[in-house]
Amino acid sequence: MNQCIDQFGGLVWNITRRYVRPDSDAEDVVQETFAELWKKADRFDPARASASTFIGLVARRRSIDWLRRKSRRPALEALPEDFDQKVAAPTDSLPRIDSESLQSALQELPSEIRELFQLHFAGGLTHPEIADRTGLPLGTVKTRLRRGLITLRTLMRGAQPTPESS
Amino acid sequence: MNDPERIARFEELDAARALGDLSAEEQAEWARLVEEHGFEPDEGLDYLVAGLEATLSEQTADPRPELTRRLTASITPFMPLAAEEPRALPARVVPFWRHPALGWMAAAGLAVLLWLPREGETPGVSLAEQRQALLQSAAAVQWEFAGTADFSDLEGDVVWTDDNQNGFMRFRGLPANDPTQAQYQLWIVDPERDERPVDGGVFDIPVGGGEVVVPIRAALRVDQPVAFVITVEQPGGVVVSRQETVAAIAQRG
Repeated sequence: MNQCIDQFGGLVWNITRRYVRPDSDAEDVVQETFAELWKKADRFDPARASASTFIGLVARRRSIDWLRRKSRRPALEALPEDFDQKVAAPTDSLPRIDSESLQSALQELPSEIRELFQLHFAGGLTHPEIADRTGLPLGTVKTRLRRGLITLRTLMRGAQPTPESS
Repeated sequence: MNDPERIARFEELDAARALGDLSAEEQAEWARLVEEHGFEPDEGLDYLVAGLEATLSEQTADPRPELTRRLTASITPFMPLAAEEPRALPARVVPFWRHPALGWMAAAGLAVLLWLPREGETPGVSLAEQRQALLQSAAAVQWEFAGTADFSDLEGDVVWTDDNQNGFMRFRGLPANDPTQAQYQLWIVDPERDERPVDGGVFDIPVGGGEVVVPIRAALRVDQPVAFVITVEQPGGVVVSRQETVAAIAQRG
């Protein structure tokens, strides 16, 4: 477990702080994340995703749970509670999701989409912040991120993406 | 909207769901597409988003040795088997709030609470009369509910005022529920406030038919609602709705 913390502590911290403030609360959520990872380590399927992707999924879910508890407002978010207990996906599922396969697919995206992914996921910018930074309308930012994700899924599956109309 | 257009629209909304940026109206639209057309969310999109966060965040990961030391110090005492293999949990751990006994007690407790006057309700005056009085307010909005496919017999409306944070739903033809098995829950969609809807409370429809008036108890202030959505949930309601059963929607015209 100490090795897991050493290797992924920074990743979990970065993801958690995108959703959780102040830092004291973020540390609590990071603890919860590692506690859940400890209990559900046997649920990790290396054929489905890399360890970092699985850990990122848990970290994101714990952070969104914190937001929900904090605000006491419901989120119609459809990430099922037993997402890590589902059986293997059907034949049109994605191949293993890891850093290498994602980076390869990202390189095939149009540069403007790749830039938005960098700003959002690496830079941690919100959609309004991205709109301010790039000068794009907020609606365009949202649409491009959504369609970019769909295109990324198509690329990961190995098919040719359909032409984008902005 | 034809089928290919509908499919494309659901894909875009599902991508937005995975990204976490669905607006309130889009959430309602997503729920309708799931309920009425049988679409299913793609878990692969969630994995992709997690993978993107993991991959791209790693490029800027802050090692923070101090945080790592604190994490190790705080987590290790709770993991006495740290040197051993993690113990396997049962195949499915049932959250405590889904225990049948607790669900029944929650439902019973709510059944009592539903009969107690709340803020905005007037003891001694029927809910129908209170609704009628509210309807006379110039600031009140009144929208018709539309039942989804499995609730097509439903007729009803919602009356709401932002000023008093008060409102009533009226139903005819909404199936009676067994509070020990499931309850109806109201969600108020207010995109000006937040993309997440506000919990409007759980309620029951008694056996016997006829018209039922239900007071609205919003958990948080709502100023510019655009939709009122009824879902079917476990006894006591939920904090996060999976939108597995959307019964009715009332929207601003």
